[in-house]
Amino acid sequence: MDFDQGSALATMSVIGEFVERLAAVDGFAHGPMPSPNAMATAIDLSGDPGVYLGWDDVGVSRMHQSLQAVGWRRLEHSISTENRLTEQQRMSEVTLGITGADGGIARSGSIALRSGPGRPRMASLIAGTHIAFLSVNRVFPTLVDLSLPSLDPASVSNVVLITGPSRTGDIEQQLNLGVHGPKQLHVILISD
Amino acid sequence: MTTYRERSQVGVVDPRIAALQRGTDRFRSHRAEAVSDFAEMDEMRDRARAIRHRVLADLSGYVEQFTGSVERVGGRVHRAADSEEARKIISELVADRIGAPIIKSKSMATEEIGLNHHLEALGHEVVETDLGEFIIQLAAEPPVHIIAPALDRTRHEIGQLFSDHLGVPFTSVPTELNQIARLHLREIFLRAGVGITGVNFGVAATGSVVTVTNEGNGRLTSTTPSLHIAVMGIERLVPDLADLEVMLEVLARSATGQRLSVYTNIITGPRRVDEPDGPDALEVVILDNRRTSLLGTELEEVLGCIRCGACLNACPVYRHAGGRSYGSVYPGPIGAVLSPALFGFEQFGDLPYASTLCGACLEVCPIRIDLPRMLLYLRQQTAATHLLPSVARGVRYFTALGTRPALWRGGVRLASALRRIGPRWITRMPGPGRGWTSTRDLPWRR
Repeated sequence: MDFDQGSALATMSVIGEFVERLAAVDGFAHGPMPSPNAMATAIDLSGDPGVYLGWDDVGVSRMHQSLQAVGWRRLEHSISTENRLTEQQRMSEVTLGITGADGGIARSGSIALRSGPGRPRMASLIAGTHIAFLSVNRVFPTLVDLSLPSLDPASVSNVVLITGPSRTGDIEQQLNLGVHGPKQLHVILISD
Repeated sequence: MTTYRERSQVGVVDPRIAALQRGTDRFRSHRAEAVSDFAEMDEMRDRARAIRHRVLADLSGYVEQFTGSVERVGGRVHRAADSEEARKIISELVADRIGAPIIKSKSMATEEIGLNHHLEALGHEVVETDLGEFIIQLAAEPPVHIIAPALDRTRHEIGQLFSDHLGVPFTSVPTELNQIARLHLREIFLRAGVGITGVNFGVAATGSVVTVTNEGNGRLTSTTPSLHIAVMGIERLVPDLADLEVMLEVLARSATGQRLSVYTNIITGPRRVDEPDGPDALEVVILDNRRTSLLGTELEEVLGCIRCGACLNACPVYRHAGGRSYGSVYPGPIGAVLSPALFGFEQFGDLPYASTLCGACLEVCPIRIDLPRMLLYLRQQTAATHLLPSVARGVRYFTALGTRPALWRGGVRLASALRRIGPRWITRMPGPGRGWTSTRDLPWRR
């Protein structure tokens, strides 16, 4: 076996573990698949059209046009210091969040998201459903392999590692999903 | 003021103790599973311990570095020597924001300083947003567990609380209760003026504050309001991001048995000018409250604690007498050391006796903090300074007997004779012997 084949197999087992671990924490993994299919999958998963919040660049081209073509309206979201409270009220209509992801951790089924220009933190937080696109090249075996320093947390206000949908066990330790954050988390793996 | 003994007599017969035991059992089995499929766990624990020791060895240096890092990214840092100063700093920060609610994400440090009552007395509306904290806030009771504050509440009690306080029809279905809380709190999140969170770790090199939650309330609390106040115990620092990775590898596994909690939120400064959301200001309040007075003492090690709660779940005393018996915001083995160390022997000097010294806490601690050693040390301190008069008298009599061989031998023969002829229907002793026979019969020979 030459080196390339070996590393390709290693990559496959890492992706396999990611998919398995995400399922174990009640998230859904899709793919790996090429971008056009990823976009179609996202449309399928998006459900009844309404208002969504998204990153400008989710890692799949023409994603916003496609969502809008099936009836979704994108919430222009940039909170101003002066009108924060009124602008924030509009969040209550949002039913879908759509983002990219800056990395994945196979061992825990986690995705890493950095905030930044065109990347509202609320896109991965406020809606009942969160769809994230993740390139297979960015999936690492462990947190240490992903490496927090590589995400350069000091240059943005927020880096978050997300491991499955929002959950609580605070009522008799019964698992409940979506207590404050999304109830459904879909990670669509992109192979190209 | 009540004693541990008095409170625990209520605790052991509290019908809710069964729920607490089920809860801690589940935490224990989840932890055991998480540890068994993580081959590096022991090595990670050693590394985590070394990191905590490195920080404690030069705490003031790391605090200074952390402060500089926070300021570099546009945040501000405040040092509070004690609870009163922390309350004062925070109330000044929020003084001009009466009217909009203050939302909180679970924080033991703010429990420690009694922040909610203080802010409410000043006219603020304070809302806890962690579901467990929200429940006990409605019940007006302190937390029973450091990571699961409402662990011993039944769904029926919670349903009753919600229907009494939130004006909703009674239900005891967890998913419905969950939905009621989501809707009720969501509305508050979107109009809150201030968010107050705790801090799991502060990163000295980057000035990041890290909160670890499962529900997402910690993220909302640190995102929707224009002002985010993070309250951090002074010892909660790690040097850099690589060290943070190690702490994250052990924290969730030890606490809930998860590989990582759902949201590991790394906040570095307020939002940047080009970012679409996040708070406009970040204020970090660093709380000392006698922590630094433990540095260089026999108790320094307790400052390594990362508040995972594993020692509570493992402790047979906690599991049988419950969290309220400790009478402190910090219950369990860690609380039995922290409470007298931080809040004084006067009120908490008896907590180190609420332990069998079985060592279960040390076995599960991700930082390998030697709690049994410190529990013994604290008992010695109590004995040296506040020995109860009756115990001192007992020790004197025993010394008198034990240092006179003839008297000792005579005593042993007498006791042996008494055991043969003693009236068996007498099972208890009066006076000073009462404590000894309250839980056992007299040893008559059968």
